[in-house]
Amino acid sequence: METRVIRLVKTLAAGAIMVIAVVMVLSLGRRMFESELLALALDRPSSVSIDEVDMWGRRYDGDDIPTGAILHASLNRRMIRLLWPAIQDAVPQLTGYGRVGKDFVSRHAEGSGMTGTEAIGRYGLDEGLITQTAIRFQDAAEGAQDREVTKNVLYAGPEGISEVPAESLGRFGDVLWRPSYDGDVIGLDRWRRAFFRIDFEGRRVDWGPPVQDDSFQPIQIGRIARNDFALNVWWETPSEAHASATPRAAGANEATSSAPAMGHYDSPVRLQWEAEDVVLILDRSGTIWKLDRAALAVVGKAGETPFLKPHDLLAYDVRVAVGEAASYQGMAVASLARAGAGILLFTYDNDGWRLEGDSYAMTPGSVPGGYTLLIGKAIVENLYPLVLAAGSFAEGYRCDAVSSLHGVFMIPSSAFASRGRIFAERSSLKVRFFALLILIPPMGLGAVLGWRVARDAKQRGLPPGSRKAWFVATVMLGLAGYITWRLVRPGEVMVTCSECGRLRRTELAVCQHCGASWQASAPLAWRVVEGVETEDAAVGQDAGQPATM
Amino acid sequence: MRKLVLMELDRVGLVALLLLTAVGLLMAFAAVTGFYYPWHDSSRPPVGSPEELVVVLLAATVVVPLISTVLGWLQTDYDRRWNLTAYVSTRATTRGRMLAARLIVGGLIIVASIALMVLAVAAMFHAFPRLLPVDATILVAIFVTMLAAALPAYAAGLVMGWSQIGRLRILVLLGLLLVILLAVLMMGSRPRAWITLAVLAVAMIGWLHHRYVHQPL
Repeated sequence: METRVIRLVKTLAAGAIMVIAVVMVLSLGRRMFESELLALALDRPSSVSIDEVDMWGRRYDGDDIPTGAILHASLNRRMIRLLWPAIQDAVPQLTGYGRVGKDFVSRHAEGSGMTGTEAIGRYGLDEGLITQTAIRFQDAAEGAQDREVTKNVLYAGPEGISEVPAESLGRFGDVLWRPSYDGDVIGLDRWRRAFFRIDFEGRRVDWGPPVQDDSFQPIQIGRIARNDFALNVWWETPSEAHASATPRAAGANEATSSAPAMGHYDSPVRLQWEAEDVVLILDRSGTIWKLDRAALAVVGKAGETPFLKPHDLLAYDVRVAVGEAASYQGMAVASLARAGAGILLFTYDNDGWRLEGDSYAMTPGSVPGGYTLLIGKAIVENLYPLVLAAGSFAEGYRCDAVSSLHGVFMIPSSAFASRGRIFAERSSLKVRFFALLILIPPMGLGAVLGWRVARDAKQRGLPPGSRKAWFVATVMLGLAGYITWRLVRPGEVMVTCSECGRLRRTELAVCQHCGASWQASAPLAWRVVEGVETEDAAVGQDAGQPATM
Repeated sequence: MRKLVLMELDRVGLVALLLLTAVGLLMAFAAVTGFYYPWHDSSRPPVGSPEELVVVLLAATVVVPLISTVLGWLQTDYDRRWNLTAYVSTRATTRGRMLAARLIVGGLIIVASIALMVLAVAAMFHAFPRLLPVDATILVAIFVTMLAAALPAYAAGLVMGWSQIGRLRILVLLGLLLVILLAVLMMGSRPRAWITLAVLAVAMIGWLHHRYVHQPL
């Protein structure tokens, strides 16, 4: 006989298994629809271009042909990898260079084959000290057995640089840092509220003035990018733009004969990751600031991530435009929104004013089969348990865009979360009411399943309290709750009803289908009596009853 | 209890050997391709975690749970076929202790296999030192994920072994394994995946306990 506790353990165990199983399968379906939508988008030209970039005050008008540079931003097919966190976790380890864990590893190779050398640099933050490990790796000469490896480690603290991690170096506090292209490390010590630069070659640490503004909350310094392998930003210089425009303008047959002299259109402006005089800093609000590399002080605004804050972006990439002396001229910002279906590209001048911009948004109608996939995704999302859909509605939009890709129980990249954002950010009651309607389908599904469970529970003779608990649990958990009920519901003994012919419960007085009572058993044709009884009296008493012998 | 544990060990020794052999082969592959060759191949300086090692460990994240399922299945299947519980019940013990002994043996075999892998990796890093300090975070995360996936897979095998192999049973088992692998694939090697898998393992052991205790002799 099952005790109450054992029944509860059994129900909770089955419920936990079912919730996890149902959500995993639904999540898989959702991601398949999502990735198919993205793949369809990638099959189409999903790039943004700004023709005739008149940025940074330079324009080339050669002959009659538009000769401005063309700035592009496009999605990378490898973007799909982002959808599978297990793969995403392993990728930095497999490459081994760039950002590996909390370290930065660079590699520079010279020569080839058995006589090549390789310089490997690693910058890391260990126990309050920023370390630089420089390795020179000389391949074995012919006939030699071993390769020559030299390794130097330097430790930098707020007070200086040493070859040993001495206490006198001090320790950095909460540090935001990154090595720059020239080997220096630029960073911000959040405890000291000041920027610093570590010059490992010159063995010195310089500090800038304290940052006064408490609202200044930088999240990235130097190379401003997130998942930049998913987003390509490049430009065609005026000469390249001219070369690609010429065949279209003059016709394919004349393309070779009318090719212009390339140098005539070349621009001194180049797109790079960093400038020599300025370091970019991204603030939590999305504002990008300029830090003077020499003075280590913020000297003004460089631009911003357009319309959205960094945590709402799946990917962004900031490229710096540098002039003749590698001086800062402006920047280009490309970003990819949370859902992965819209690219924005904007350019800013030296003073942080927006120059030009464009966007590409993939709508379901813009790809064949888009609506089908969107409807499929919506159906799967609406099969989610109400409690998870409501959680995504309430909190999903607050989640970081990249972390939301890892969401299985909470689905921050769903329609629930986007309506939740509308609900939270709009003040109009009407708009809020319509935003709430997104929860109707999972609630309706839960209610229907809950009603079925409650009805079944009543037929199986569960007490009213248990029936209510099962109803509420099924409304909240949807499909998972219903399947759990089917697995753990009490068994029943059924017999065929002599009136309606359907299966009826044995312990109920009337048939639960037709209401017929149990047919009284025919009395026996014989009985035990005391003394002698006459045949007539016995027959008269049993008159009308059929004999069963 | 000790006798029960020894009896379980005696019955699953072959599967344990299979698990350890698979682990040994995977580690040997990683040692040769990931550690030995780079020191003898001039074009690949030994920096960071060798990608062969990461790939082998990712493969082991799938292989170890699968073998764990077989281990659990065989433990219960053996019991069902030979009516072992009925036999042992005649001795001075309880079903709870019998189940605990079974879980201890299965859990120990799984933990020992993964511990062996950790030792092998540590030995490889010691024998073939890397030029830069290795960020071990991802390696630790993979090992924890492997253990977190192997335990519910083992429990699934134990639960499913109670009935004769049929099409439905195999489908349900495959479904449970798919759920475990999906949890790893979709949540990554992260704490939330570990918590989900731990909850799944506890729930399955709870279900198994209920079935085992109420199993008629």
